[in-house]
Amino acid sequence: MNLRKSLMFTTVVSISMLLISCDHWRNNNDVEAPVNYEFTDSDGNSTVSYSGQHQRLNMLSEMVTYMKSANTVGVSVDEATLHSMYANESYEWNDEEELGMTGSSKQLKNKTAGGDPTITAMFEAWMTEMSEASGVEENVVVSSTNSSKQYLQSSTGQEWTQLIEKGLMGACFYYNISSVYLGTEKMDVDNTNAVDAEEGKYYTTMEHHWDEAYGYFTVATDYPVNGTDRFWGKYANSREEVLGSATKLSEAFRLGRQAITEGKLEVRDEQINIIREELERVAAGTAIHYLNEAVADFGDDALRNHCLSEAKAFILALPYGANSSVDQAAANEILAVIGDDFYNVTTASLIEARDQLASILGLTEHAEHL
Amino acid sequence: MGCKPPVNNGDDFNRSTLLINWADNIIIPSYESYLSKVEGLEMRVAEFALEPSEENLDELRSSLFDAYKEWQTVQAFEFGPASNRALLETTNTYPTDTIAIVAAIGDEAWIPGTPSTLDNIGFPALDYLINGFSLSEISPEAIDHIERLVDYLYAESYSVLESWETAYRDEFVESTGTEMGSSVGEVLNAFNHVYESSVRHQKLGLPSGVSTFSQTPLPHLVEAPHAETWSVEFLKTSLDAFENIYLGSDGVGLDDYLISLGETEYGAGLDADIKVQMESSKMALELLEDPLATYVVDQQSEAFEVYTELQALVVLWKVDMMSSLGVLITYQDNDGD
Repeated sequence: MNLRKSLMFTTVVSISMLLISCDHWRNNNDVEAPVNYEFTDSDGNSTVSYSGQHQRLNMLSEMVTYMKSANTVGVSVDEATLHSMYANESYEWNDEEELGMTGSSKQLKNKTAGGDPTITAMFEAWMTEMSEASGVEENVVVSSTNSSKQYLQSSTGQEWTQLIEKGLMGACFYYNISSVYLGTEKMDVDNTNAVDAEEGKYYTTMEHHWDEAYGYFTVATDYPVNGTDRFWGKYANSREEVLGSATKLSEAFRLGRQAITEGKLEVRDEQINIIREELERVAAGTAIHYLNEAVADFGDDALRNHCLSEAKAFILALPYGANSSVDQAAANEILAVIGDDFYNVTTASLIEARDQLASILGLTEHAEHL
Repeated sequence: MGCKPPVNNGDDFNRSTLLINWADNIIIPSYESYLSKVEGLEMRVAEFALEPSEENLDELRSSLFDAYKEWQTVQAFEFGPASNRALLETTNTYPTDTIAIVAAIGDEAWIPGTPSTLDNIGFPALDYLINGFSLSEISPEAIDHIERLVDYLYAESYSVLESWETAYRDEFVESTGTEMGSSVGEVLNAFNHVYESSVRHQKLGLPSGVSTFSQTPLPHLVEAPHAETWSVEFLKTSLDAFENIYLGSDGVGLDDYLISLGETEYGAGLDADIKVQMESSKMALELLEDPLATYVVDQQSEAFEVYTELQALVVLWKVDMMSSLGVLITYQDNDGD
């Protein structure tokens, strides 16, 4: 009996010690994320600002709408117009949300891979090719299984709209989130003083950089309730069912931002790792998804080429992440398995590319279901 | 707590047993049997190439019939390994493009399996080259091309069977849920999709003209048109194969799954309805006569009646059974009917 009592006593003590140590750990590191991406200073002023990102997302949206007009036979898109939209040079935007896009200093081009001229020239060349091909009936490929779907594509099945839209999601948005704003240079900055309270800039430099990363992901403060209609917010949400991406990213962005506000930088750093890793999984998972779709629509030239153009652009996006698992050489290797001519692919090569990519990213168990 | 007898909500049905029975007693053996027929075809092609005689041509045709018929028993498994290779499309896309087939003969650069070859490879191309010509009309170059077509057919189905026999079988039987992407979900989506578009629609609906506005028969769209006498047999084999999947052959099948839902309209009652309809559809197929291409023109209204019997199964399987089992249809019906 005595023995049992003392054993019980020991157990009780160890459990309470455990609880204490848990609490202790919590007190040090636990940061609670707010429900929405909304943060205020002690006076109640909002400290969140990503208006420049909002403008760039809307610029790409307007570009996509314009480019998609060329999916209609007889409708041409103009090279100079596309270039002026890309660089925001004397282009008059619709700007439905009245963000002041026309004449603003914000542009997609100088934020594409840090303005790297080789990369921006590649995008501009696609715009040129696209405008030359547009308006010509034979370049609009109609789906053989769903005649409401048709796309402007090159003779090798490249769909410029996808290469440009998803390509800029990679080289501009993803690059700026993962490699720029969450990088050391932008995170190793002041976190004590408001940038310029008199000008309404109640945020610290570090808070602002974090917000800029968020704004490239989505402009919705209640993501993923809203903000699932375009770009990374959309594709993270499409990967929610299999990879849980939207939930994880939303949580990590809110938690990391709260951690900055509370000055708990280890928690911030954990969230940086999560965001980088999850965005990479969204990009790769989406490429895998489109490779599966391409096999499912293998005999339908329009749909297959469309899916392969999507897959290609998401694969090309991967090297833009910080500490990417897929560098440029690896991305090119996977693209070589698929081949340059989307009319000349085989199911075996598409599945091989899919499985290679899945294996690099640790997504093999999900490859069939994405 | 403790042990309670199974309640009739379907969640107590042991889906694992169903999946194991499908994998080990139906799917894998069917692929093995199919592959052995394709191997037999490969051998006959080789013999015919060595000695192009009337006798060897007969043997070749009969081995093509065996393989093509056996294909009907595996067509329903278009998920996982098979859908990864688009096996249905590479094996049996018809009508076949005879101009492209002729152009490919002797073309060294020709590669099977690219999208532009889909309508000039597989069984329909073999039907054309092997059944569409007399002995004297078959050139050595055409025989070479037949060999390439059969080799490709073999390679693709081999890779599918290999996937099943390595990792996929275990993955398949371990995924015991009913959600999107689960094994039951995959099987049932393929089952319904293939039945609806590749069997009901393609083998009878399209050629009979039932699905077009003017209802003009389109006899050239029958399966294996050059053999002339195979179309009805293949349709019967197809329906038998779907029945076999439904019944789980001699083991656990979808019938047991429905019965496990209890003595209700959507449980055992639905199973009884399906069994009655399967019998009545099979009987209806007995009305059809080869050549089907002639039948759909001369006896179009009878063909429509048979089609109605095949269509009745779509309603029972795709609408009623899927909702009873709580499995979502995730494919889109794009075949235009």
